[in-house]
Amino acid sequence: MAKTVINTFAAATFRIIGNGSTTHNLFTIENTTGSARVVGVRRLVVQLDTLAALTAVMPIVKTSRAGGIPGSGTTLTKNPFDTTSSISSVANVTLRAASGADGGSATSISGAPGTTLWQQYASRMHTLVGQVLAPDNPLIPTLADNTPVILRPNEALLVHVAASAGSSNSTGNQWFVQCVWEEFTE
Amino acid sequence: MVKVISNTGLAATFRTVGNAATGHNIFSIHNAASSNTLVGVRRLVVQLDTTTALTVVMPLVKTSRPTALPTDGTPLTKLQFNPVTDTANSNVVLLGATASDGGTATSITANPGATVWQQYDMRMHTSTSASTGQVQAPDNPLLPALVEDTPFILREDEALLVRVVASAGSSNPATNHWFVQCVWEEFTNV
Repeated sequence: MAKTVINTFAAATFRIIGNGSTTHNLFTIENTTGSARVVGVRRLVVQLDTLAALTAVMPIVKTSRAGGIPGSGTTLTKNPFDTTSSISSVANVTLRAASGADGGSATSISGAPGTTLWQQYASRMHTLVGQVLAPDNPLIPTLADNTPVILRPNEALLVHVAASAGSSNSTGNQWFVQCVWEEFTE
Repeated sequence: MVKVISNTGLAATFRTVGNAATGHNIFSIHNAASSNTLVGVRRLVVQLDTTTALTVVMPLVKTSRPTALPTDGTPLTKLQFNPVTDTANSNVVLLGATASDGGTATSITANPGATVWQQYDMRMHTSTSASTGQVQAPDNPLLPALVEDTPFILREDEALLVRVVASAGSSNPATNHWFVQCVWEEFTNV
């Protein structure tokens, strides 16, 4: 079957403050029912700066196919790699984040995670000493650059923080997530 | 449609000192109106060395399409992967925010748009030599790394802007030393 890529897009969340809970939905990308396009997620990464020492196990950031299409949150701007108007993103593709401004108030995403598809530790400060680096941490395997994770109509990916205790995702945690996807037809 | 690449270029800013403000434009690339070329950005990275401790959240470095073509700043010298065969287009302009390593600011005038991609870079939670050891400064991608194969396109009259966004001016002090560098190709579709 021939694949016709319509365009490639990128979007980034604002800086999201930890919610002090064991579960924290950070980001979703969804392709709703009736969409004429297929979505291929090619890159999905998280970064974290953390300001508080944590001597317990750090949170795991998990990516899964959500149990249904998520809701609420802050809808993100979709940035095309090429701005030609005839190849803009379809309205059925929506990305949501858990804050509407860098370090702003929470705009919680409703969505139930499914089975973990890929996951990441990010970082923790065992003691508050020395240099803090914040590399890209992949939330889907990096080979998705060339073998995208597919979202057909009525499918979504959900990124959530799973902490062993609420205190492990304190307000000293400053997250962001960003995504590259393509929209195509077959 | 066949893509004909006329030039692949490289450019790097000088070492740019933090401006102690919450917003700091440190680099731009634009494709001027009526250039008769397309620009595909294939790599865009930032590095930082910082010599002062910072115990609050580190700045984000954000890439966006600005609301208009940037002005002012320091035009950067454009180099070529293959100067023998490639022909550079003068309508492709890159700007830095200083004209020498650690030199006086030459501010870039531009307003950012929606964030396309972003990076934390690094911070020193403590900075005394006895407690910190080695300081590393890896390449931090300001566009997703896959643009090596799927370039980010600038059509005529379009630009990319790189801006430091700090939660407080004190988070981007003069002891922050930034540089940005870029690889792009110029092409037409025939």
